[in-house]
Amino acid sequence: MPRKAFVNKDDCIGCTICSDTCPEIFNVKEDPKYKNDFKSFTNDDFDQELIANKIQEAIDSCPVHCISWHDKKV
Amino acid sequence: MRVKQVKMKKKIFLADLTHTGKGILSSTFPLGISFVGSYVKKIFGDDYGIKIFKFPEHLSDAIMDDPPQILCLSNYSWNLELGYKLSSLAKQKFPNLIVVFGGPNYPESLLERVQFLKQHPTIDFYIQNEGEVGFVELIKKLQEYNFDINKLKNNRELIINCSYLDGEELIVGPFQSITDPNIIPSPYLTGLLDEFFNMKLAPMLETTRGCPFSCSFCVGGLPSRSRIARFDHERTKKELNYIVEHVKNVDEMLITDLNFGMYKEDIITAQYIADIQKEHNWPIVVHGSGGKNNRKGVIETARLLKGTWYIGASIQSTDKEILTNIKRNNISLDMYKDFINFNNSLSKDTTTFTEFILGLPGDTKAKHFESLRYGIDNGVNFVRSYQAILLTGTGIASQETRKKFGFITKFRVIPGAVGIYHFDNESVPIAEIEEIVVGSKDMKFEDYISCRLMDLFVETYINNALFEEVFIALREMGASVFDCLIYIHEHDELYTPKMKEIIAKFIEATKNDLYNSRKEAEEYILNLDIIKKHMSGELGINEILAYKTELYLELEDLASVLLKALKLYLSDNNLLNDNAEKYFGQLMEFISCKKRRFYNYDEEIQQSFNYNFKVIDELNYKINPRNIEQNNHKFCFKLFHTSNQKKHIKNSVDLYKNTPSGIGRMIQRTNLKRMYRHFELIKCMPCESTV
Repeated sequence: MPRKAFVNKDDCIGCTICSDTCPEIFNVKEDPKYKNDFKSFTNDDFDQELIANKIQEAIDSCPVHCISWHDKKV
Repeated sequence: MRVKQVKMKKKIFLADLTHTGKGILSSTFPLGISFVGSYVKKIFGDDYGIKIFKFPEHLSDAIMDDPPQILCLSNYSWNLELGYKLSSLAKQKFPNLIVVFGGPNYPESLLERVQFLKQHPTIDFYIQNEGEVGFVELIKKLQEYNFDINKLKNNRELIINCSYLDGEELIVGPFQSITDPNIIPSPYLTGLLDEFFNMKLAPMLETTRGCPFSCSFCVGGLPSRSRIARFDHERTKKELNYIVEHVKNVDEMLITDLNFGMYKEDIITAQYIADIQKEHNWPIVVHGSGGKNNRKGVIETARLLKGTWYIGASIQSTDKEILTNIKRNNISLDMYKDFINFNNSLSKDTTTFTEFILGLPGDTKAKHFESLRYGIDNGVNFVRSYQAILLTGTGIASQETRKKFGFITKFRVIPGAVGIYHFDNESVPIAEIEEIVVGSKDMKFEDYISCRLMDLFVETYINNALFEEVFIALREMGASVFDCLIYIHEHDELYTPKMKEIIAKFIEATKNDLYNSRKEAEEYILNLDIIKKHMSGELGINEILAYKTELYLELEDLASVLLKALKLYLSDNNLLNDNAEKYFGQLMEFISCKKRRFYNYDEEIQQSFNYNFKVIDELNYKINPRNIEQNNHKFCFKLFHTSNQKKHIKNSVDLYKNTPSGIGRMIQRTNLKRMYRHFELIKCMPCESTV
């Protein structure tokens, strides 16, 4: 089953470690759903398996452990 | 004697020194260096005698009495010269002494590290990043080489987290961070810090290491410090219990975490602290940097600590361009408002603060004023503006940033970081110098001075809730508190003679005592006469702190100027009427009775007013003065300190009286809202309620 990185925005603190580590997938910007606080967004169009190691590094670096792999619904 | 020394185990002295020439500059436990000592003890058992130091005189005496094999010193911007000069004297006297420095005040670039070590030839080894592992690895290597440092260096041994010079060449060991800090035994629980409970020092607690943000003005923003590691809850709980059992007559505790409240685990820590507070009524004040994000977590933490935590949102600037320049994202305005409103609702004593930095890359007078407006008009009751300090190793101190933004910088003595110290029979004047931004291609020096004056007014009028009751009423009228302060800033004809004199001295002090280079500063300062002037407070003061204190002591003058300014400002905006004029007049008198000379806790005041301030207080002063008529009856109030307040004020005065600015430092750091007089109505009139 293909997978993709998922950010739990309730926990995300918008620190940019993920986007610094793996800018291909993560982008931290203001989120209107959270009163415009900064949250991490994922690029789901990208074939994430190609850079799975880099994504894993971002997951491991997240200080609040809010990123994880989820199954990608085809 | 030689036989005795061979039999004795080797000694390691570890010191996180504080200047004491103008009082104790840093009145906190030496926690950081004690972690290093604690880890050495764990790895080497009783092979080494470990001793921790805080005060230079204790260290000098101990070295002279029985010198250690290794002297290890913490390096921060406020104690580098102190540690370096004392260790240099020690090494002159005992040439075999191995001197190791560690700490964040160390350049990031390899070229600058070479320069640093060349300028500080007494330093044999430098431990960068987290010190525990690096220092232990260094000791292991020293053992391998039988403590022959020349041989070790000639072999260019790579030591984890350690750098040194071999001749002209810098040798840098591999970087390693501690993924689990629980490998370091608690210096509290092992008794390593016991002796410090007998000194007038505030205990410190670390629950989390690292900071995930990248702010370029802060050492915590460096990539090497981005990994987050946490101590176990059980350990933290035991440490808190240990501290509360041992602490004596100090009401404060510091949490050294860089983002307290931001992580889920912090809620558990806050609950422990709240439990301890409930049982022991300690700590009365908790200091700690709040999390930059996750307001929900920070709010919950604050709720548990019930107003004892000085809580705030560090903003630094509200200008997007500046924030980009310093690699920072602030919380959104909505979140900020929610946060401030929540904090202000916690209790009447809660202090909510916001910090700004003047002179960041791209800053201007207009941008600084807008930042201040943002904090003040959103209801923050404590706003602090710092000068931009170019800290060693930080992004904004890089040559690239300096050039890009055309920084105009000056050097000055860090206020309070001076003294004359003794080693053997020698007396040495020592001062710490720092570099601050006083202008740039975007900000003229005159604008910088104007901003500093505004910062003084904000500190004086807004902070410590000195005139909070007035500003709440202004907001209820739909007026801008910040515009009222601008009115004061721009109309010096309103000032009383005493206030004019203080402000003139403030501007003079802000312009003076600045030097064009570190060398120039050192050449001027480092002679006994000049140092003595610094120690006496004639030179080198923290001008905001000093003149804010002078202004506070003229509370009646401050009130009269504010009253004149707000009447004119309200009149200009068609908001003034007879009711408002009378109300503000009596409110100023009431504030003066409540807040003047708070440290004279036996002074009881009785005074009558035409307003029932008891009822108005219950409404948190949220009334529109335009709509209240002055009552014909008089309400007589007694204003006094409670027994708990008296104890707290006494403890705080004792803690701060020996610090560089004494009462000024206390005004700066403690929550004065807890020290203002309580009041009660002693004569009940028939028509009690006027609102």
